[in-house]
Amino acid sequence: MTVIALPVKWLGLAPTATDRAVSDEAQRFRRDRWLSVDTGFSLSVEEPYRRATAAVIEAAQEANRPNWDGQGGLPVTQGAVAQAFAFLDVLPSTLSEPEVAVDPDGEFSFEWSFGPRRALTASISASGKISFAALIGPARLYGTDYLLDALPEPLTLALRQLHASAA
Amino acid sequence: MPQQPSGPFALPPAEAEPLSRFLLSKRRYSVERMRVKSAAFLPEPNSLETSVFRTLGLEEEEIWTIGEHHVAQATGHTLHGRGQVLAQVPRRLGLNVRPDNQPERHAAIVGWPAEKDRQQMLAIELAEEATLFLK
Repeated sequence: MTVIALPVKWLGLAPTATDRAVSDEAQRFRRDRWLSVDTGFSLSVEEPYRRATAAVIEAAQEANRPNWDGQGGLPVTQGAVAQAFAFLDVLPSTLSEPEVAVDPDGEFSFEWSFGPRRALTASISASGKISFAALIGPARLYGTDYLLDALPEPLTLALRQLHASAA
Repeated sequence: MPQQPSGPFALPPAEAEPLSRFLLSKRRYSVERMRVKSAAFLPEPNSLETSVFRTLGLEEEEIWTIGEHHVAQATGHTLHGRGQVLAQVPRRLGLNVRPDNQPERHAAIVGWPAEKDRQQMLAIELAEEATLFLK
């Protein structure tokens, strides 16, 4: 299996059960789970995740109406918020915190920048479709996949390459 | 049917002409990294155009005035900053800059593909070459 060959710090990429429930109750539970100060998780490991989750909530509040960005932006949907949380769920805990934004089409985007021409952006739709693009030096990589129980492999490899270059 | 552009900025911009994308959301740029995020350059979903203003020959204050009057106040938002790229950048990527001069100095980056991942690839290239100016 590919996962076995990954370095220890990337074991967080191993497939995990992903919660994509969209009910109000499920969303409350999800927020409570990650925002509670009594979760018992390691602060050093979970803090970036916690901040990213808070950023998703903040971004969702900002982009909750048509033309929220003054430039024709579509509002985020409940499904998009749920998928954004699901995306964060499958990110390895050792990865640096992504910058969260909302695209003009209402999809959440997660962006990493590791220096000149070393950046990756991934957007997730309400249906779980991930679109991504990366600059890895002179190389350009882009594609589309679906969020199942783990990050799509091309996205994983691109993030690993960018992360390694920044180490 | 768009009207024919008229006035001094009706012609396509020169290669080295600066274009400003005004930023009305704090989440479209990073203060820590002093960079514009790619989402700032993605096209408006219905028109597939990215609205920009041509700022050649303007003082900094005049540029902010355009952003305030024509973008922020017009839509009831707060102007936070702008991302600036030269007109040659989108052209080099296969995009185009279409002047409409309505309002004056307004133009649009056009020629975006329909596929989201290809849009992101172009937007991340634009962001890479953009300079962030904060208000």
